[in-house]
Amino acid sequence: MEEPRARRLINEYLDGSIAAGDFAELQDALRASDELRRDLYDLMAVDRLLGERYELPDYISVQAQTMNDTWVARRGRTRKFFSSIGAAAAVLMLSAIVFFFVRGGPDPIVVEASVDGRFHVEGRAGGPAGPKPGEVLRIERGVVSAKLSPYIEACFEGPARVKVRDAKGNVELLEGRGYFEISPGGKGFEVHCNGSVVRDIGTKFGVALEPGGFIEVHVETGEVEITDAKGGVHPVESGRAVRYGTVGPMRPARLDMDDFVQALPWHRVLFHDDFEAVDGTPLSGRKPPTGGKWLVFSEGSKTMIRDGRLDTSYGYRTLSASCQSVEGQPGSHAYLLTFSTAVPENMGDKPGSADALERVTLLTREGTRLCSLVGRSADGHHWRLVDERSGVQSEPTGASALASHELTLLYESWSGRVVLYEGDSPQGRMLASLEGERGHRVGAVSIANEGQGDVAIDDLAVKVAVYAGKSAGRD
Amino acid sequence: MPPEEESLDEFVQELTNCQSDLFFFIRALCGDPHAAADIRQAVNVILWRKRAKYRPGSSFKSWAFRVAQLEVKSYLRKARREKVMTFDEDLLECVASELPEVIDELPERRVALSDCLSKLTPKDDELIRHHYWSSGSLDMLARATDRSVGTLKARLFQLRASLRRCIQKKLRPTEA
Repeated sequence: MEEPRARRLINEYLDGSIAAGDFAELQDALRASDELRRDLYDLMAVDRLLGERYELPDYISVQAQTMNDTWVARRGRTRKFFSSIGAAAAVLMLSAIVFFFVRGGPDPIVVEASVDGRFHVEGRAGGPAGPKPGEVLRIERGVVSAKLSPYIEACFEGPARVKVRDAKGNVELLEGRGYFEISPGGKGFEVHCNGSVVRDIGTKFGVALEPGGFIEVHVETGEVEITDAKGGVHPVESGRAVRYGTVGPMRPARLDMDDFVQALPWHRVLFHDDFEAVDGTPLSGRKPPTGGKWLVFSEGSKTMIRDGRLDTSYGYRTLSASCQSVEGQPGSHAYLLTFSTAVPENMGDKPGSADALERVTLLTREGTRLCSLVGRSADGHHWRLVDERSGVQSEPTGASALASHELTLLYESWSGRVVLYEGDSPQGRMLASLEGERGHRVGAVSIANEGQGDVAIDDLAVKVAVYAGKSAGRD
Repeated sequence: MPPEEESLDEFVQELTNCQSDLFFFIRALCGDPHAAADIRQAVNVILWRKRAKYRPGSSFKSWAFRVAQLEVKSYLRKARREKVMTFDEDLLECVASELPEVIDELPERRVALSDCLSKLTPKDDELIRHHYWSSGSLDMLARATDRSVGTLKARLFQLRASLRRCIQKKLRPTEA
């Protein structure tokens, strides 16, 4: 059986829409091919994990009967009831036992980072499982939101460090700033900071620890009680802010909740091309799944998609595609360009080439070059970061344009900082960074090669995270 | 804690921990997610009844999978009589013997999928959410977005394939 047909039948099998004749054919093919069975297992796993993530639990789906009668009816028709009333009672009893035995402990802390976020828990690269009591969450950049308990939501903006003190979710702010939102069950929640304790009495508030050791507490709603390092207790009501150090009096400060990021910045994919197309599909005029059409400004031979990639082999090229616009979205933007590379098809002409160049560039909305990754034969085709406005370059990195890598290029509009990370997010190893020009918006992406330079690119995407506030120097 | 209570505690922990894997195993063998949910309930009841046979420290998952395989066979026999499409016995044996390896990797795949989903375009994200939320019906989304059900289905198939590739890349970067 041809591979595309086999995959289609597997998908139809997963969706329950496969015809009887096709199912028999699929079974024969599965019996005969280990590889096809592997495909089946992998796609089943994807299907199941997506189901886990998005399917409604049964008790909600019953409520949804009036919303979509057809699928509920279908589900009802196909449902086979195995268990007797006795078995149902046993299941109920079992569920109760499971609940009491297993749910007895506190909920683990769950964290989520902004797309430009980079964080660690005790040196472990961040994932959804957050810190345990006694562990330190370190946010290097971006924003991390943390559900410290069922009643306590927190948001930390990098750079920040926070230690979880106990199973109730009480924390110690070691560096940076955090915003806390506490629902009634979380009353009494404590933020320890430089010898003082900020205790919640039902509220939303922010705490900032400044580099000099001064602390600012801003109360948005409700009230907090601050116990200073000497044991003095100071209530602070909603709409008030205070500033204090380890010595000296507590003074009023100007309330500014904009100084605290209260939620993850929203993000959007501005451009994405996975180059999924039949071999030989021309790039010129191709409309990617997200973003503008590919434009070919120059080419030594026809630019075509091969093996699901954009491979510049066999000739020079300058290619560009525009990103979707985020016009009218005020705030500071962090742009992320991610892509993977593979070994280009034409490697025969690389040894001895003197003037070869590969370049992947973010362009401004005006169409000028902003920052690039540049590989040159003189550097062994290893990528360097280049600020195209000033010409400043990083040292060559360990990643070669002619090898398989997954890379993420970050540009911060508020600082002009450009960083290259290994992997598909800033969570990977940092390969290079430089200070570029601030204040630009990204409008397009460009790929170019010269001389005997070549690059084979897959999964090219540009994302933006938009920060509405002004904290962390993003005025 | 008395040894019996300790043993019961471990049994309940094991039973709870394997629910997701058990569902995947049953779903893969029987093909019907709704039947799989019912079969899992039946398997849970059997495991509970036979809990005295469980020896702490032995592989609970292997035991649960063996019980589940028998329950699925019983379901499939019934389904065949009702002319429902099901795997033949020999293929079922083969799949049942190969699946545990895939299931052992589900936690890593779950984390990888999370990352891969963040790369989706809003349109694709909406399609996936809608499909799984509505248990497969794409009619409503097709009407709302002025696209045909066939187009959405084809895109869904592509997305599954692309998520699969992305997961593989993350799990085995050197093979990608």
